Amino acid sequence: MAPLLELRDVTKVYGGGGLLRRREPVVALDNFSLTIDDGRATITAVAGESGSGKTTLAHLALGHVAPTSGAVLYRGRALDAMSRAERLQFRREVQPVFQDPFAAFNPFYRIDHVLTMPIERFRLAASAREGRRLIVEALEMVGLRPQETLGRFPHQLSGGQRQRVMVARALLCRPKVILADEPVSMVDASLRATILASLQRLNRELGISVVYITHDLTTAYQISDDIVVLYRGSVAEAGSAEQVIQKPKHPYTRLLVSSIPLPDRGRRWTGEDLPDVEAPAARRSAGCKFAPRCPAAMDVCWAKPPPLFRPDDHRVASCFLYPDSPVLDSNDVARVFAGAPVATAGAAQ
Amino acid sequence: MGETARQREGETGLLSPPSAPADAPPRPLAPSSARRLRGSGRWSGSLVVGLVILLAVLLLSVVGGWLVDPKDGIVGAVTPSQPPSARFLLGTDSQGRDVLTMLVLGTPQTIRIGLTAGVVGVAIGLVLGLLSGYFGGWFDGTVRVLSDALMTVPGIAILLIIAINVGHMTPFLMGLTVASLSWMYPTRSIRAQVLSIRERPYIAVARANGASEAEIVFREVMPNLLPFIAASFVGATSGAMLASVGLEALGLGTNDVHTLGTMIFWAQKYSAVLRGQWWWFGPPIAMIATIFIGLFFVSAGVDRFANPRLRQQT
Amino acid sequence: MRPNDAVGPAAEPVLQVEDFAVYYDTPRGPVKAVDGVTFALRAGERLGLIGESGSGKTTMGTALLRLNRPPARIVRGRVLLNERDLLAVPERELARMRLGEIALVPQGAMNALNPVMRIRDQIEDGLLAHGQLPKRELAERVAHALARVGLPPELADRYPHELSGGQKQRVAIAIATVLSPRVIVADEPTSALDVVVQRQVMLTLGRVQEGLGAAVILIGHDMGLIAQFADTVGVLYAGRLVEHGPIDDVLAAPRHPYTRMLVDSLPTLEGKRELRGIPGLPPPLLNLPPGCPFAPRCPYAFDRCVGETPLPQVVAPGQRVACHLYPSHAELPPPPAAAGARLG
Repeated sequence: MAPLLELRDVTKVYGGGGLLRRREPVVALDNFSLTIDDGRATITAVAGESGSGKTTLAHLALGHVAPTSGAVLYRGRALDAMSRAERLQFRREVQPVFQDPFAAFNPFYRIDHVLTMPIERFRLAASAREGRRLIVEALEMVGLRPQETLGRFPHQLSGGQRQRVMVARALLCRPKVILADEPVSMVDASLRATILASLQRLNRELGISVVYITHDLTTAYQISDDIVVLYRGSVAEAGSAEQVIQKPKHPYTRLLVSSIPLPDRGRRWTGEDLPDVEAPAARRSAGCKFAPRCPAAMDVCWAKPPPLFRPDDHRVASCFLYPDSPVLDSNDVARVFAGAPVATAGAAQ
Repeated sequence: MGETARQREGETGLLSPPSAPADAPPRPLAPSSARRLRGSGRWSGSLVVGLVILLAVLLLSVVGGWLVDPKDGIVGAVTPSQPPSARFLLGTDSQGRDVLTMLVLGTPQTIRIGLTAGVVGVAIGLVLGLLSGYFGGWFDGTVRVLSDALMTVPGIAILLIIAINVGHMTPFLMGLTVASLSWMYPTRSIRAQVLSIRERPYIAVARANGASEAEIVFREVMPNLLPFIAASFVGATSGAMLASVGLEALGLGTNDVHTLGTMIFWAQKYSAVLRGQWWWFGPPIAMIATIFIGLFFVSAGVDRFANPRLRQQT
Repeated sequence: MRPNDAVGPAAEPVLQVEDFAVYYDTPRGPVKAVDGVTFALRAGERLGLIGESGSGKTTMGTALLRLNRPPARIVRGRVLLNERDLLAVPERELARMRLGEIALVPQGAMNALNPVMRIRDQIEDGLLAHGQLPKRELAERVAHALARVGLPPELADRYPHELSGGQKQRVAIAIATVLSPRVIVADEPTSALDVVVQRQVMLTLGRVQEGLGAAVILIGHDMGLIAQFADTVGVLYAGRLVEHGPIDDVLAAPRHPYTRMLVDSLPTLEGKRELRGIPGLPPPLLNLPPGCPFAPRCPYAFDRCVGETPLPQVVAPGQRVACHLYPSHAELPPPPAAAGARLG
């Protein structure tokens, strides 16, 4: 079955070469591959800190920027080679939810504007009345009361309400994939659960796949089936969310997980294992990008970049700590996701 | 997506508030745009004062226009060089024209020149600024080079050359002349705003909603430019008025239509200052000053209107 | 971090806040951002004040040092720092007490560093405001302040843009603690930082605080962070302190319904479960009706809650709750039937 959304060997480089001063190019995403299939509706988390490339990934997947090399394909067609009709279908079927609930609304219009526009553009309703019914249904599905929400300006709603309107907008389009880029990081803690629960509901009841981009591993753990952990544009570890987060194998993932401030007095932070993450690297690594900060770095780590080792059926870790594990035969990490069929390394899919 | 049992029971889906105690008190429906504008704290003292001054000037011209006889403004119509009296409230000039008549007829002409240039300048600025800011590329590069280059050239030199070559000058042509140099600042200012708006998430949301690029430019970007258009308009109008008065004072203005600048020209040409005929050169200068003071207050107030961060914090 | 034992050394309160209230004057009436907050802070104690949007926590941080600007106005209360009321002392003495005895690490401090001044100059700024010092001693103090937050002395000659986010935040802590204050108020000190850097900065803050024997008020919205760092927690809702007590007790057995629901809404790594938020919205702080501000969203609400504002009462040593369920209950009962049908 052709994948729905595919990022194939995508690399994105920013900067490099100013007129008077050579600017150091930044590799935001490095030879990254991921597929989202049509058959199974999954929630995939893409986790990383600032500089990991997760935001770049969102922009690429939504077609806002073109990759420096590699391709972004939708239903087998490259984004820049699509016809107008195909492009419109892509726009409808891959919907974003952005981080900032205030800036996502045009302050000039009432919030109804973002809900009526897709109905008109994508011809989702045959009449105005049906359009209105779709809007009311979508709002109710995310737990909002239409009579308290419609007709208002963005500044009259709270951050949580605005974000829920954005989720309603996304689901109104009847998408196949929702790309949520840090959807709850600017929302109060008590509302986060509600919004994330509505994303889960969309996934389970409407069969919409969700790509959940975040820096928060606990929410990623709670709602995702699979997770990809990025470090400086490369995959550090990926696979079933349960395994990767509960028993991380890559030193970077371990560092991330141990740094989570859990509201749990039984799991306290310790200070010993903390490398100085901000000290400038004494030397640059030609191999693994994490080597300068890795407590377990060996000579080989500095020399060549580690491939995606597969220590478990549903996990890959690009780390030389697992040299005896088989290597994944492609760099599409979706192969090891929780619902993917297990095949031995080297076997064609 | 049919109704579930929970929805039928009146619940609206995920974890809606319990129905018994009142929820957050229902917020009033949003007021219309006009009322929203009025009560929003955007109207500062400056803006009101400025608008009142300009309104007074316009009123004077309109009402005065009904009350004076244009024939009194023709050379030789009345006794020349008379100081102000009951009959000639502002006296007469050495050519035998009634100063009050000239003032009343000339003020709207000067304003008209400024407005013409303001409208043309902002219209050009809007189109160029929108297109170059939103689409970038070679068009943007060209517009930027052109506007930057023209902004650095001494405007008066260009205007002189143009004005000298206009055969028969009319207020409209004067307006176009000064408009030729009033578009650059609005272009740059609007372009800068468009660059900033283009990166806002709501533009990406509009794209996700299936909007075409043209629709985004007109429906999403442009409405948010209105305050900046207003501010640019005031700036362009003032600049143009000043430029036109300058050209007219040099003698390049209209021959047959009175304007404030031409009054100054004639006064200077016939040595009104040396002759102590203050009632001739005084009133046009005072009127120009008044208009500029009004425009100054309006521009200060419009700045607050346009820039939400300058408004009073609540 | 610190061993999980009894709270810090001496039991003498170093800071006492009594009935503190800060209102915003708006054309439509006063917005009661902080409305009668009372608590005491012992030397060496780490208090976490948790609140969401509209709780008043940010207003509190600046107002405690009288750094609020109009239209925010301190309406009543006393803030006693070693027996002297910060709200009543004259400006000169207040200036001396700020930084010298009580310091603020404001929200977004790392963005508040002056971009055209070297780090050294910004630290010296605070020192010089409290008296002239010979040049050599100034340099020593700067190096010492940087070392205390784990930064190398060379950093003193750099500009803020040359530093990373975490380094800038640590500089902000260095500036705030250069005169060894007794109380440090940190308002969301790590909000824009990555989780690994956040841990490092919080550990740094903890080390600095222990070294100085100072007390810390950590203001934030992240219960996890407060759980990792603080000894006691104060829960703010609609400008009031609705619960206050040792963090272990409050987390294990919250007494106030809001605290309970807040804790329940937090995602953990303890296994997947249904995510529950708190339905409804925090109340607007303008013209708040009498009664408990949480009543509209509270599954336990009854008649008394709507008309009568609950006052904080002591329910156990060191634990206070502002809720009408007490003292008739010993602890929070299970949620009433109506709410139970909703969950699950």
